[in-house]
Amino acid sequence: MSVENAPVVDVDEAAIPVEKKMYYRFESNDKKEFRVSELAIQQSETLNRLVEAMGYTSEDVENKPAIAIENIDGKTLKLVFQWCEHHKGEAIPVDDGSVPKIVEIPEFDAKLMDIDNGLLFKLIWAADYLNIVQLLNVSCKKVANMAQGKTPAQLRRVYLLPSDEEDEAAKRAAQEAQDPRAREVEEEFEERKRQGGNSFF
Amino acid sequence: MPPEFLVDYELTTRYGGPYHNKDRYFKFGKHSIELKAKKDPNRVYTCAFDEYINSRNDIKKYYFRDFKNETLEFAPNETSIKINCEDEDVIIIKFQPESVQFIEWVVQTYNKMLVSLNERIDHALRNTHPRILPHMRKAITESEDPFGVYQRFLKDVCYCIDYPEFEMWFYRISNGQLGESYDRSDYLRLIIDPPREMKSILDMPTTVFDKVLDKLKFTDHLTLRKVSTQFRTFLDSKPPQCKSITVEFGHMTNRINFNVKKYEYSNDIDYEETFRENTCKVGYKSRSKTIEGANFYEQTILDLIGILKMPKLQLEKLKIIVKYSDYQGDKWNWSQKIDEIFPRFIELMERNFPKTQKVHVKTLSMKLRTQNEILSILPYLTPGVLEEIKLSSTKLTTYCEHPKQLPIEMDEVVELEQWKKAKFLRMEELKPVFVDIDEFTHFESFFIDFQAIGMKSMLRLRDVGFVQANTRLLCVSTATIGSSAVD
Repeated sequence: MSVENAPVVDVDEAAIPVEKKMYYRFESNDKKEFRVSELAIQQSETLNRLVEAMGYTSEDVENKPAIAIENIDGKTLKLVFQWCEHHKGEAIPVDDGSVPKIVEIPEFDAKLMDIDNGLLFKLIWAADYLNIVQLLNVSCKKVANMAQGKTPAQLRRVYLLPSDEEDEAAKRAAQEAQDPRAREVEEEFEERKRQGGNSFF
Repeated sequence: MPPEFLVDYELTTRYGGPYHNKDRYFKFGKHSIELKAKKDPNRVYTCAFDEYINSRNDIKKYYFRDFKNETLEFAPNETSIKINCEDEDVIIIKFQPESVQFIEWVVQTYNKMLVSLNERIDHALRNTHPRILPHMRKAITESEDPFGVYQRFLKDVCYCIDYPEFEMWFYRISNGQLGESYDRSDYLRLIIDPPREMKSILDMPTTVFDKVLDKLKFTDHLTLRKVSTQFRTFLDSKPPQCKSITVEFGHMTNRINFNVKKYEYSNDIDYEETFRENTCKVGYKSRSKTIEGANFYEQTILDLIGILKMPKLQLEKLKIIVKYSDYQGDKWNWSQKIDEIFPRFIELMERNFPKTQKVHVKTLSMKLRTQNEILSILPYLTPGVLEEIKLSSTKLTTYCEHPKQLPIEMDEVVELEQWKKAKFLRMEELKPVFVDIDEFTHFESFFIDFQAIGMKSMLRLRDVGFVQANTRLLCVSTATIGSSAVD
């Protein structure tokens, strides 16, 4: 019986290649390669449009070079694709205009985002760039949670913001530092004017 | 579209010999010069103005944006351009007398661009990153040569701001993309900038920052406003979530309550008088802070003013109540206290609230005792936007022998534009005294508990059409109107 069935299965696979899962290859800017399923890619509007426009067949995917995502590094991209694989097939939320937005962070996402702030910011940047709505929602929620119930002084520490006094001091320092050089440039300009060299414009 | 010019030029090879290929076009754009071969139009050299260096020997050298090894030089005292190409050696373009026109055209276009730039600059600077604002304003408005300024910026400003940040602002100003909704990420996408080490939350694209703010409650926004002026400017550029504010003045505690939606996300900030003189305890949820040297009424009023000052605040309802006290013995003490609150309220509003600004409020609801209390807030609301005024009398204590109707003077209130433009009025347990009935006839509907109404007033109301079939609502306390008056 098994001998009879074997060729039938073979024929099926060959006849309907569409049913085969397609894995796209992406490359981060530090040359790390990732294989991501078609369904997972749908979470990212940017990538989804990109692969649609490319119209790759499964042979193309294997033979052509991996699609380069030049502005995201491997570490960040790994998190992004992990998230996409876990949430593949889920509906993409639509903005209903309500404020404040109520977003729950699922356990998987919470674990995924248990990272330092630098990487979290990169993840948010990547989610924004790749237009992954729900990932952007949960990651922004995480950043918002950092702010909840904090005093202004604590917030400055959390978000690494300068206070107004520091801002003022930095501005003054910048002006002081700039002035001698600005004068130098102006003097040079004046001197050249005296020498009679008129510029093109 | 700028016109295309075919100019005379000489070609010199690397070894000095002539090179006969004149089939080239030069196209002068706003920001670039394009060099196009006639035979091969796909091959275009672009020289972006913004990528030049000012070399010391009076030759302006331009770098091609896409072909870094090739340069283009302007010698100022000659009418010529020298192009150093990688593969085709050197091209020298000498302008013929008629070509001077085209130089003029370039200069004119350039100047036009400058004029429009200057026109837009003020608007742009209003939305500019505060840290580079002074540099930007000085350099661009004073300079004859913004691209030189750009170069100087790179040298002088970049050490204090991130390069992409600066690039974004320059790009934004020079392209006239100055709308409030300008999206930082668009530009980042454009230059395909690798994500930098984020130093602070302000390095995020504005769309992302918005998303973070969307997920925070209004009270958290209030805290964020206190973080820095930069944050405040950003938050104030968007309408706050808060839709209704209730302020309660009490004997020992005050409260400001914010409502985003009905029955949802209600947040309170409590102000308590402490036993030490001139100290106020401010509490929000489990957090509290004691402020030295602050009267708790003043602190409440100042905080309220701070919120009302938000430029895009749009309130459905503003409610100001004086609560009654349960301390029977404090009846007179409390009454004195109230008499002090509102003159102070008026004084603080006059001192701290900008004269040109008005608060967008649809309904004003107050529990009050005197005209002063209305005058503390009504003049600061936007006339026309304010539709409904609800006034009722406040009871001082639960045990107080309260008159059924509290006489209240209205002579100053009725003169206010806010009063004249309001549509609905409801006055409960208050008896307006010394006011002509005509002051109420502009309302679409009003509810007043007149204790007694004269024949003359009734006739007047009938004359303006209030006691007619088309009247929406007229309620009079019928007990005090004799049947003859209705006739």
